[in-house]
Amino acid sequence: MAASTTSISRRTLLRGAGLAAAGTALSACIPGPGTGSTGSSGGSQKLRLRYWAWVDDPTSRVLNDLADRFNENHPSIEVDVELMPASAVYERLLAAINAGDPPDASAIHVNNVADVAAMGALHPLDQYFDALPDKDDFVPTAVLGSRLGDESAPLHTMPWYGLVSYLYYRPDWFRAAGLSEPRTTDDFVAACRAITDPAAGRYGYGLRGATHGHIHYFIWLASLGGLDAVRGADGAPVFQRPEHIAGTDWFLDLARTHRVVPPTASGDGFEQLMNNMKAGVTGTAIHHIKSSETLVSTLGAENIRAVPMPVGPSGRRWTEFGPSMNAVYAGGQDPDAAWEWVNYLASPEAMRIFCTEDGGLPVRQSVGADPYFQENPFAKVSIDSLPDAYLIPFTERPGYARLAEQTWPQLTQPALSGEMPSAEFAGHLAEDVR
Amino acid sequence: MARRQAGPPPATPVRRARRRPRDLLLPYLLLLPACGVVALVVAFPIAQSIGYSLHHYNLREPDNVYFSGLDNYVRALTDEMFWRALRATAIWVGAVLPIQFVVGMAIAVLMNRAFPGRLVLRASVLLPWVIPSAVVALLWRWLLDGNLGVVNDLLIRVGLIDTGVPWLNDPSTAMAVVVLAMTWHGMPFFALMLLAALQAVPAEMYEAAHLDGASALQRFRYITWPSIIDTIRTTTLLRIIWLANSIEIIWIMTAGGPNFATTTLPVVTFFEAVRGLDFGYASAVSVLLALILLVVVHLYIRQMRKDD
Repeated sequence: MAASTTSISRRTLLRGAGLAAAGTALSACIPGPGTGSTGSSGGSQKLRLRYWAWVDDPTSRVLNDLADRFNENHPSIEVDVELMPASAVYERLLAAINAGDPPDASAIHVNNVADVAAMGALHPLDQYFDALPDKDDFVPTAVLGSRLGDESAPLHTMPWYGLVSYLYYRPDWFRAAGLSEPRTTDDFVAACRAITDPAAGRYGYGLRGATHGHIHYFIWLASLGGLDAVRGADGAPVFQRPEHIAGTDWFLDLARTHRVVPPTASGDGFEQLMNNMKAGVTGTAIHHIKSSETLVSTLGAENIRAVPMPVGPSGRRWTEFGPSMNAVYAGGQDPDAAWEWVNYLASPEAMRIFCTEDGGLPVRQSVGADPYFQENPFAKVSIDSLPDAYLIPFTERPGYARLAEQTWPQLTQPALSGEMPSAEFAGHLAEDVR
Repeated sequence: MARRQAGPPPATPVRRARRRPRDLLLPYLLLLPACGVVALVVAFPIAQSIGYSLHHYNLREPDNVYFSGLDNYVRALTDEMFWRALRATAIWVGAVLPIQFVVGMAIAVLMNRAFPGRLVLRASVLLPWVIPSAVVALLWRWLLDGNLGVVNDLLIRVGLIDTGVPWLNDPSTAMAVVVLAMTWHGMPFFALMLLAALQAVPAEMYEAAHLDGASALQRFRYITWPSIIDTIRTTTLLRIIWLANSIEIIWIMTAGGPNFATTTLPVVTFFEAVRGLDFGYASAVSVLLALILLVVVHLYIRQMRKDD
């Protein structure tokens, strides 16, 4: 009896396991509600587009609301918005592209476009863009950004919004020191020296020595000597040449000679930059419009201002244009439908809503002329700076990520402390993107 | 037993019951799911890492994956950064481990005594261990912030320093402060393991030693230490492996800087894989770290056996 019981239960167990395994295998073949792959737009089923993006405020529903509006007007398409941190978008994208299952469209950082384009994963958008009746409404810098700075390159992505770097300063500190707003690089250094008081824990300039601080370094180099001080005619880095080391000296001397940066500068990233401004540790810093709201709410509108980047001895002003854009993937379900969505995001209506909510700068001239942006002093400075705003060089080069995220943050400490000569510092950076 | 040996052999030999092949297979069938899980979550990733390490495999170049033999290993072993990171890993493990042990031991001895509030102390000692390491890293980063940190503020108030010290931005202090954070985080593990071992020592042994006139030091040396040594060895071994592989606290507090002062081998692996997307090279570095750990563990176990 006992043996019989054992035999039956074992048989039952094995049969059950077999059924479960078969069931699992079969269920994998049945498209589930979350797969989003409902095939082509044929038939009565909606085409569910997967769209990945990031927003500054993770609780914001602005993109979901825009998707709802779009879906209402496109009965055959349903956009599923999936929000994630900015860095996660790129990491997931690479994994998805390698796995042959990219999203239909995504927001993409300019630094990553070249890599993804080189993988053949992007669907070129020229034919769609050229057919737009209002394509001239887009700010040329933004369109050039979607071509990675090369007029002859394909339109890799659809322009969406932009960010222009400018200089924040504390007008109350400047007033107390009898200074006016800095218009030239010489003004800037003099002002930083005047407002620095280490005993009081005050420093003139919030230098970003941590990851991606090289952007500010390039801004200063280009302001001092034009873009030629950074990149040669062939696109190769030139800032390690003896004649360009002077710019690096100028930059490093902010710490080495003038001592106008906090002693923590080599490790200060965005978070520290903002905290130092808010806490009254630094009197100036480079950033863009997205930080204006938090600075105003902490310091008060009367104690924080923005000016275009100071003009260098060459008489030229140079600043960074950081384009944010949307990509359509060649391996997606229906690139035409995905274009409809990214084109909607770049429409005047959606761009106005998104930039108002998320804090970016519109890249349509018609939207930029909107009173909301013209009356916002930080948006105004950004828009005024647009003619002098360019893409940061070398973003198209494979070593750019290493420069931005490893070499720069690791070497700023010895460079700013004077242990590493300017030429050696610049040489290491140039090596990454050569 | 003796009577059975002395007795005559059984008239009819006991015949081993014949088992059907299905019965013989059953234990293996029952083990199969567990083996499958182990193969899936342990063996497969290890094999895949070794496989990646022998390939040129960068996610940026999905169409350019090819077998590259030992190239990634040669690249690692000829890269100055690998040796710097190995040295930093040795310093990291070599500094954290003894400090955690000494502090953990002191706490365990203290908690092993009866005193009012002992339960509260035991619960509070656990706190650093239960806080996620990412939170621990952020907490210490804030405490040690060069401009706004509480540590600098306190030191300035008591007159030990005049201006804030950039603890995390100076190569001479960065390793020390990440060691401090990790010591704080991991010390309860030692304390709890050692406390459990201490509580397993019979009280009678101490009473007997006391009656024999043994001093406190002698009681510790001849009773406590031999009783807990196996726990110490096992705990130390586990901790060496965990520390050598840990990355969160270093990455969040210093990202391996400044000037590579806190770049350990896991930091190199993480950077190359997640930022550089060079899975071939990152896998080679992680395989090398695993091999180094295997050697260390082998030597450690051999020494343990010798001591026994």
